[in-house]
Amino acid sequence: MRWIAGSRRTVEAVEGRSLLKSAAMLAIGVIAVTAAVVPVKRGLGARTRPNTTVKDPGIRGGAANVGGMLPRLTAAEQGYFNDGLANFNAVIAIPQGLGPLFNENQCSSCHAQPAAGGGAPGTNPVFSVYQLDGAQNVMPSFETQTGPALVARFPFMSDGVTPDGTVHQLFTITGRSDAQGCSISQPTWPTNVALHQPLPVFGDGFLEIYDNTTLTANMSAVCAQTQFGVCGTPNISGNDGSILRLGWKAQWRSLTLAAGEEYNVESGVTNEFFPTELNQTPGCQLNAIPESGTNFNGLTGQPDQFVGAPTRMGLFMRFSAGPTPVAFNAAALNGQQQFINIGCATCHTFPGSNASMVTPLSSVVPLSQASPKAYTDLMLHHMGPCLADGIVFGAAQGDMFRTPPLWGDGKRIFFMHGGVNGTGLLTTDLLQAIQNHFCAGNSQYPASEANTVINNFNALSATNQQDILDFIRDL
Amino acid sequence: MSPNGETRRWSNSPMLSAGRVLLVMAGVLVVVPLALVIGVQAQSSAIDPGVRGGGAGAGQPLPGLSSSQTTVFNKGKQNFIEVNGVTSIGPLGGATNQTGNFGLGPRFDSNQCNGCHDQPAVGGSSPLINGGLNANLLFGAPYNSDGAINDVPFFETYNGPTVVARLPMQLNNLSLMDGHVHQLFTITGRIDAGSCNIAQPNFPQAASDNDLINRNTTPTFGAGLLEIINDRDILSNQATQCASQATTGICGVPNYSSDGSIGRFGWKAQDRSALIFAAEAYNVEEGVTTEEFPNETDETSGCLLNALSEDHVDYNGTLPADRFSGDPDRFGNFMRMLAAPTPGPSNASTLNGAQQFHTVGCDNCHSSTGIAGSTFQFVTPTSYIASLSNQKVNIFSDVLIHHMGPCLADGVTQGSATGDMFRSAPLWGVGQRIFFMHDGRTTDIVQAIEDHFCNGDGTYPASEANTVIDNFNAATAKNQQDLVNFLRTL
Repeated sequence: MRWIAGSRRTVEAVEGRSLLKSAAMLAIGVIAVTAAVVPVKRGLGARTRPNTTVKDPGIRGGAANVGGMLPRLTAAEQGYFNDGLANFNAVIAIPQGLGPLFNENQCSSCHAQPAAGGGAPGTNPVFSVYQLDGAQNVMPSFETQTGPALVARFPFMSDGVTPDGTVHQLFTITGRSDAQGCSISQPTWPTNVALHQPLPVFGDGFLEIYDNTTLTANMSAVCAQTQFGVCGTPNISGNDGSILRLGWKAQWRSLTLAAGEEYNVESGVTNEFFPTELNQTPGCQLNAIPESGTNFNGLTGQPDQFVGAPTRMGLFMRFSAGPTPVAFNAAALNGQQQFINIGCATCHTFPGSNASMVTPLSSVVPLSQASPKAYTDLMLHHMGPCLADGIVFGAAQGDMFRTPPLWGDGKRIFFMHGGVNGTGLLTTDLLQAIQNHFCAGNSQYPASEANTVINNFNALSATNQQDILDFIRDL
Repeated sequence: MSPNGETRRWSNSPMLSAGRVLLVMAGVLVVVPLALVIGVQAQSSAIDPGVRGGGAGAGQPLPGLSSSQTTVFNKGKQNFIEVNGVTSIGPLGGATNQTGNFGLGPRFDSNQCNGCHDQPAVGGSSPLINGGLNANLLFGAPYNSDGAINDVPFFETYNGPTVVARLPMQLNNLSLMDGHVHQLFTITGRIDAGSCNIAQPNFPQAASDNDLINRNTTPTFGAGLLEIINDRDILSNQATQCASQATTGICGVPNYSSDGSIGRFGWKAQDRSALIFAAEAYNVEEGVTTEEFPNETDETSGCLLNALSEDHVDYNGTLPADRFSGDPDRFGNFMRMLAAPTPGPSNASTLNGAQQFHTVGCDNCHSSTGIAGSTFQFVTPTSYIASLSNQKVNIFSDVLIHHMGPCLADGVTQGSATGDMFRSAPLWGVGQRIFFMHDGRTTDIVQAIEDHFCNGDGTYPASEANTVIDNFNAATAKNQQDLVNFLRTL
């Protein structure tokens, strides 16, 4: 989707209302706000426009430069990467644990671009699975053939008051030839269903082991740069007290835990982390649970057959290499410098903006004391009511998102998390994605922390703006 | 017999000053039915017969495990018992610790799982001699073994429960939420801890700030049954329970997990499965980093002595494959295949006690399959471990969280469980438990019953148990005693 007049009008209308609201919010904020809440001055920036000649160069051509394993893995580790990848690629039918509720029957269907483990592919894979093998599902209106696969989370339970936040699966196994006797309905979609597109997992092994102190030191440095109006908040794990890092709202602590949860939530495969089916209607629980667990007969088989698939897929993700950028030309090098200068790198942190973002000693040698070029601070930020989806995970409020890593953006098709039903700010246009970071506050949520940076971007010369886009598409 | 029962049994009553009662009434009227706050406790004459004698009624593997499952159970139990040092160059097994038993600290509560989970068998609850202070037969007490120089926090006593410490709010900023476990001990001074030099938390300050709560060890017997109970059975029971709320005052709620299913483990039902519970506890209680929780809980320079994660899949693992997975998988398998506690023999008194347990209404929350008069049933679905399949679960818990009043509230929020809410603690095995309530505040099971009673205040509503406790206190002395005797058979 391009930068079209219709969407401008919509945004301006929102801004007009919100100027009054931000003034009111400022007054309320001074009284009620604690130190944890963002400074209110961010709402005051008037919106500016990018230069009209600037254009997203589009998805980079050439080799994927991603999808492989970390360099220097041992032979044994390479074996587990390949074993985990095979699990990630495996197609799941009922005997393997699909359903009763599911979004997809294969991890790599949604995590596909530009290689297994990646982001959403250009052709929505849920259209290939929703009526597979006789399934009788109706496609929800928010899924489109050429859009990303979107999972649906409900902000509230059916009473409209109790917070929910969990995924409500798109499809059921009802009607499938291997699901005889199961008859259940798809969800009734509420008006405000929050939609999230898949995140790539490449290089996540680096992100899950950064020391907490590395992340909080970076955050402190960012917060001290008051000219950008950016700070950030860690999402703290409930019991171990460390910083959560993965997922759109930094809701997951580790790849292994994410794999366990996703296996049950997205494909309906019960496992030793999440052992029960998410729908327990009689006639629909067709396998012993958990469907993926310790292989007790594996005692005499291969070691890599011993533990359940989530642990094995965790190893695939942990051992996957981060995306490799192409060699920067002069324009991209300038773009990188502008990216730092205007403040993009305050959130989208990388070693060029903070050399201290180094991983600790890891038992996996290539993950050890490394400086991954991930372009994220792994912190939560207020992104304004335009991006807010109303989903709360721990410290992540309805308007807060983890800074998504930008490595691999050169090959990404869809940008932004997804949005709320019908008002999604998903885009395939990188320039639009940058602009979508801007949002004035309203009575419910403060302004986007990115507003100053976006105005900085829009104040740049056309050349500098274009160089930033070219730089990001080299990642 | 309880050593403290008579002096501590009525610890609620000093709070019932007239002014406070008025405040309580005003605060609670909007939240719960009036009937709940007008109860005044009567004294029970029942006497706790004490920890049931005879052999341990728990700790065995599930009946009917296959030989390979039994092998995995036993290996997992070995890991559960193993003592962890800090580094691979350490005191365990001689000059170097090459057994993989490392990763302790920088902060920790104990150096082995069964240091705290040991009553009446490995996997259980707080032992009589506090696990953190217990002189391990081989390696000395965790708090001062191998050169460690920790003070014993004031709230830990040699004969008291093993408790962990949580700070509801941050130690030096009481306006910010905390709620996490703050480990009792550090590795500073240990011969395998290099130059690490960190101080224990300032627990006295936290206590003086009224910002310190303790939690006692929960047993893991029957964990495999608990983790696979169908949500719909829990919710069906909840519907029955809440339908009588007008008369019982009881209506629990689930603590939903991130996948949308119901959480089950821990005092606030904050953990979903034995495996997640194991991985988290390994990191939180011993400081061993895992693939599930890969970072140290303290990252002070000089204290990060191993590569992360310290425990992980053995990439170079060779057969037998039961050494392949990380320790949490092995603990998980051990706990999953631990049988539920076996009740002791019944007699006329305990049979009547079981009836009274239902009549009084205890089983509104401490629900279980097989109680006469109760329609409640937990039956497990089909499991890949045949011994777990289609089993009646006599757990004496609804796996829901309930408001328990300000007397029990610990101010820690975990998921839907707010500061005054706790999971109905499963009562299976309670016959051989030593310490009761989340903080182990009593060894007297009669006191434990009475501790369920609490009026509301301006912060929290009254305990949902008040009506039931009034019912208990209104029962005849014989019925009260029979009920208590029944509990000690579990």
